[in-house]
Amino acid sequence: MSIENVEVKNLLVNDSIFSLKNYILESTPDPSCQISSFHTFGILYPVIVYRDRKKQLHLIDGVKRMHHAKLIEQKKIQAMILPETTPVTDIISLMICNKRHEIGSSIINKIQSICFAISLNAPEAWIRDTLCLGFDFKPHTEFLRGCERINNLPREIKQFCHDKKTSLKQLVNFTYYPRELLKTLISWKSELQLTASILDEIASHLNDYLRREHKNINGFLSEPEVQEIFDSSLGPREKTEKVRQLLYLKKFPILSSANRRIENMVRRISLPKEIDIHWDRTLENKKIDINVSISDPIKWSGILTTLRSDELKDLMESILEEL
Amino acid sequence: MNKKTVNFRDGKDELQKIGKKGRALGVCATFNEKYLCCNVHVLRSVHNCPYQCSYCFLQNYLTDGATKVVDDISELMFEVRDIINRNPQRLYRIGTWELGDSLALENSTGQAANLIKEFALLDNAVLELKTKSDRVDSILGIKHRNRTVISWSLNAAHVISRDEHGTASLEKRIKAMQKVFEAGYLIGLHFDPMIVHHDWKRGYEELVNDVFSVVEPDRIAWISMGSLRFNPEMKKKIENNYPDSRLTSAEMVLGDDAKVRYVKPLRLAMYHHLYSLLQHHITDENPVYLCMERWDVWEKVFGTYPESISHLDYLFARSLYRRYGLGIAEPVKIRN
Repeated sequence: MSIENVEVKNLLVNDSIFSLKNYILESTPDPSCQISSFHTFGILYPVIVYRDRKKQLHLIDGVKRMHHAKLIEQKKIQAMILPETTPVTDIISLMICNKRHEIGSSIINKIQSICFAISLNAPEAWIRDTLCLGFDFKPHTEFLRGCERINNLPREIKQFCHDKKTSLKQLVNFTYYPRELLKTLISWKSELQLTASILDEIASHLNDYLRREHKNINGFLSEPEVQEIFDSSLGPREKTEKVRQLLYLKKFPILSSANRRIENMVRRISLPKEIDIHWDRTLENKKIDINVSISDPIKWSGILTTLRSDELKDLMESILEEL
Repeated sequence: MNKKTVNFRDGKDELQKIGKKGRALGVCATFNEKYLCCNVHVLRSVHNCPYQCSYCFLQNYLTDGATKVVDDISELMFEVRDIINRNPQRLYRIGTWELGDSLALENSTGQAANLIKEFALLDNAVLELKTKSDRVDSILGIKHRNRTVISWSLNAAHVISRDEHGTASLEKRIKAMQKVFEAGYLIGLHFDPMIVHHDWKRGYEELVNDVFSVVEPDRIAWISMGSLRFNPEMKKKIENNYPDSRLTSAEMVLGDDAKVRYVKPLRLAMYHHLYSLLQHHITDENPVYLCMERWDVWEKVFGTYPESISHLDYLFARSLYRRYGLGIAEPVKIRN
């Protein structure tokens, strides 16, 4: 390994085969601290580069130093040169070690690191035994295929997943939704209050609805009730709730309508607030729970009269018939 | 030692004949107290299936996807005899379809033919071979003594073409059913899983008419109805393995048996429709049952429900004894 002064213009940075630019996601890049350090001390350490068979130099470590060097129009920079014979696994290990803070900050970045190693043709057994186990993932080939599917998610979704610290399960769920659908949903980020689980729920219900109705996303967006929500002056939180309710209705039309009928039946008999009627809203279990909550003993006889009334009995029969 | 395993799909093309390992006879694994099971026994003689039904649970179940057939019939039958001899008064229904199709591989294995011959020697057991194939020619001439029921898993033609990849078409299944009927076998009909699709009412009506154009009700041992259901984790698997299938987009809810199924009003509409179609062709003697359904669904469809799982078992045995003389004596109803 040697340290040499190399021409800045001859160093591959974004085009380096070791560029992490398309893999590791950052929350809000703030280079100001680093830049001010460069202004004070200059570039203190050599960058690390890999010299390939064609003598091309690929940057491994020192993106910000290179950026500063170009900024001040520095012609040459000190570089530690790794020879062509350096094992790819050693280079990946070095890079992951250097970026451990960013990589460790989200599941998606850990997965992206694995995909980075896959893209460099690192041996699969090494990826499984070193990277997967190191990141607490299952060291299975099938898991690696899952990582590749996650890597193929739209960049905006991956950034969202990084920012929201999305779980592995949700990441995997996202890979099953069409790209166009995900891109549309993520474009609602400024209008709705999206968390990873809300995004997953909306994507799941909307995807099922579109597939069932043979519609595309534009067809959904042109539906009047959808436009009404997005054109309204509601805040992000209220809009999100409206969208979720609408999608629930569209995904579960039979269930929604049966529950609405039961709700209307209950509303019609105007029960005292001490009596609550609950039923299984999936309609699977044919049973009703009646809860009585009482804070004033004087109300007890009135409650008993209601519980014994024919009106309540008829209501029970009607609800059970519906269930 | 490294054990060679293959995935679910690749394994469909690789047939292995294996010896019997561990217990092969058990009860159907779908038991749950809120959903009524017919209490059939299953003989695990086939693992995996050459067909690719998009809703098949095997895609989420088998860890080693190789298609395996137990070729040691004497060992299988030793276990069957051991179990059924402990309770000679009981009539056992035993199916070989839990982890695969009973007849799809018959041309290569001859397993079903051997089992039919063996069951013909038993007095208190009935073999059920359930299939989506038309591979029946090799079993037509066997002396079965009514101890074998050849059953078909049946669906509307549209569902077969869209979601039961590689299986025999409805037309071929019906032709095979006719051959089996003419060979004097008892026949089982399983309208399961019923699937909602465009014009499903007409689809199931045509199916019922096709079936009853070739069979008479007196040779129908039993009829089941069931609707699409699967483990929740299967949803993504189905969508991934069969991107064109719309099965999983339907209105489904999670039941108490941890399976998702159509919402109850939809299931009821399907069962009511199918049952009313069946009633034009069958008699009161034909046992019709729901597979893995709730007691209240039974009541809404049939106006009644069995008192328990063993009561349902008893009703089967009574029907088979009275109609075909199966079992050694009229079964006695056991009080629970």
